[in-house]
Amino acid sequence: MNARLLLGVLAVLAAPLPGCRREAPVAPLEKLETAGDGFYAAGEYEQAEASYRKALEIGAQRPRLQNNLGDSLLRQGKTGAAQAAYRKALEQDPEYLFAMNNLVLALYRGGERDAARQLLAKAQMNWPQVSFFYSTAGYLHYLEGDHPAALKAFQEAIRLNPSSPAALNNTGALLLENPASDLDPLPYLMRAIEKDPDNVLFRDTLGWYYFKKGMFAEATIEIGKAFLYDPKNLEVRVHFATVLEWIGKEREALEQWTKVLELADDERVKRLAHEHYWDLQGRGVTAAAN
Amino acid sequence: MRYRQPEPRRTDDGSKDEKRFGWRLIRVSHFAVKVWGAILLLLILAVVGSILYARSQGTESIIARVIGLARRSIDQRIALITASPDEKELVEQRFATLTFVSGRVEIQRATDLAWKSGQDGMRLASGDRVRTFASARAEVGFDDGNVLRIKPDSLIVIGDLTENVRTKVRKSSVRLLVSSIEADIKKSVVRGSQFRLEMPTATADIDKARMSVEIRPDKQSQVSVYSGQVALDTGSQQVQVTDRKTVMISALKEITSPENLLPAPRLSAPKPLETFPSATGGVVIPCTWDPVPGARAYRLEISADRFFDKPVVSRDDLRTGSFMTPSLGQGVYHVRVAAIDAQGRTGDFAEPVPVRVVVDRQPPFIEIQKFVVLQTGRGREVLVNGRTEPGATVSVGGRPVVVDETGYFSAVLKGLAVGQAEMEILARDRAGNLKTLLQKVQS
Repeated sequence: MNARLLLGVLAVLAAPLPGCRREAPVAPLEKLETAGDGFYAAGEYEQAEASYRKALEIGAQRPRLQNNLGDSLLRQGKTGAAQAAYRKALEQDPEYLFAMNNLVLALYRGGERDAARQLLAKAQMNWPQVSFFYSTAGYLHYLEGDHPAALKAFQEAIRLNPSSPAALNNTGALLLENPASDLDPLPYLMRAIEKDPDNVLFRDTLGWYYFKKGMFAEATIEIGKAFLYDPKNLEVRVHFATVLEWIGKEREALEQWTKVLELADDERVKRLAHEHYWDLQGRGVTAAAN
Repeated sequence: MRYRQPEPRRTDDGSKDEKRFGWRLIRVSHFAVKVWGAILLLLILAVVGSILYARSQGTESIIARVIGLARRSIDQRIALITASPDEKELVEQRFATLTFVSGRVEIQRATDLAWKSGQDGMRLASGDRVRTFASARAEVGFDDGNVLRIKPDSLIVIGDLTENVRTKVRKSSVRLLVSSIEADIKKSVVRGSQFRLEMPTATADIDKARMSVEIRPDKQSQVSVYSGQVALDTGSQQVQVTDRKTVMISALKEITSPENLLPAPRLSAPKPLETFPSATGGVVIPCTWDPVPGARAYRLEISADRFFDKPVVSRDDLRTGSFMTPSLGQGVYHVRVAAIDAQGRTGDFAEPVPVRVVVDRQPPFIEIQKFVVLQTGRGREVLVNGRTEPGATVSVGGRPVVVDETGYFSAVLKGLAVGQAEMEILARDRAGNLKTLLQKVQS
């Protein structure tokens, strides 16, 4: 579920950047920037970083480039360098709110939690109508285990921007994890999918909701789609294997559990896969011939 | 409603239109008058007959439907004329989906007079009608997670289905003619969104509720709210119906005092998503629930489909808080229970619990990793460890040993009988399948 909530952050990092300064087009610079964006979208963060750095070497003062460089660095876990890039972006444009939000995340990940909180509080005070600051606040509350505060922040983000897919999904995921008496996760999850239909984690969350409710046909569709979109995602594979078992596709489920056992590093996931694997084997289920 | 005043049409010479019309003599034969008179009489008889028949059946006549279509078309045109350009852009049409169909269910599109067979996954738009015949059921799912379950012999009309493009506020409404429905309306993501049920004599605005509505042919309506809150408005009377209350609305738009409904019992067994292995192909599932004060009996239903369309177990005579099901074969089941009060009214059903029965005829494996017989001062001892199927129980020489969640077991057994040559290791899986292994105990 943590990975799902992380999406709030990723959505902000990967979001297009409206309102950024546009300067006169310089052909090589544009090419490098486009190449960097392409590498970033493909998950090749080192190459994205290299492209952005080359673009910056050309000499353009572009806060967007600095911000994107920061994103590539943050994705690689280089929190210090990412913070520096975001700070440079803010020097060039002090009202570059995406960079400000990203700096909060970089600070938090770098262990500077108080600094992150202070910056976020300042941002929320100066720009109280900006929804993604509340999304980020909700995510930080979630990481700290304060689920009621996280829910409140996500809901405020939705109030300010009812089309925020990350806030919608995160609210749904949080409610799925911690059922509340008067709120149902489904409207949030359905709206999140409407806004971002190709999102693997959104599909998986919705599918898992259906599974828990015993809506196995719907769960198979949603989790099946998520699995098709991203077969590398282990959490999605675990959900897919579970659903396959419940719809009677036990051979296919055994194959998936075998794969989970091969790929999992997390002990908890390994134990779960082991349990299912032996349960199926113990019932005489054998893997389908390739 | 504001109407746009038509401008008078002017001719070049400044004369008015009416000046171009005048009297003219038309000759009509006596025979033609008779024929047209007969046709007119037949038409009047057909219209009156259709209205009377529809009234006797408690449905809407074709004539009323045609008039309704015409009126809606005029209303839409008026709305288009009177709305400002901004307003027109603000609202976006949404859709609902027919998510479940069982038996004879038919759909009539807003733009079509013909009824067509309803299919799973069919999209429904504003103005579409859904009718269920005897023993038929349907479920309509909305894009915000709201669900309407339509029981047999019902007729509903999808009303508003809009979203304000700017504020994202959604308005949904459903008109209920003679019908029996259950609704599960969830709290909306965006404040100000509304779900409305329009009954013949009242409207119900729902913020969040699980409820049922039954509209009888005499236009009396029964509204039962199991959880949440519903605002009823008859035009002359407004009543808030809250958790576990039921009211009747008369044909004269009078709402009775709310009466209590029983709460849903909490199912303590089976657990959600529990698996019941069976070595024989069938398994008895024990069901237990917390007793509800004031309950005369309990209604328990078990169904292979989540809509409880064709329950495999349906009992409404259970007096205690437990029940052993008959043997259930392999498959997925949904279990739900409700309390019945002294008046015979069924309260809210507990959230259905999905469970499954799996067939397991394979005995568990036993893998002995170490089996050592030691001769000590106190006699012979056996050190044994190994693995079996997770969830199985193991006994060694008749003595139970602890098996961990991965199936690993380990034990030291003391005081072996003198002369005992063999020791039996027995594993029993959750389905009851047995596996035995004999180990020699010669030191």
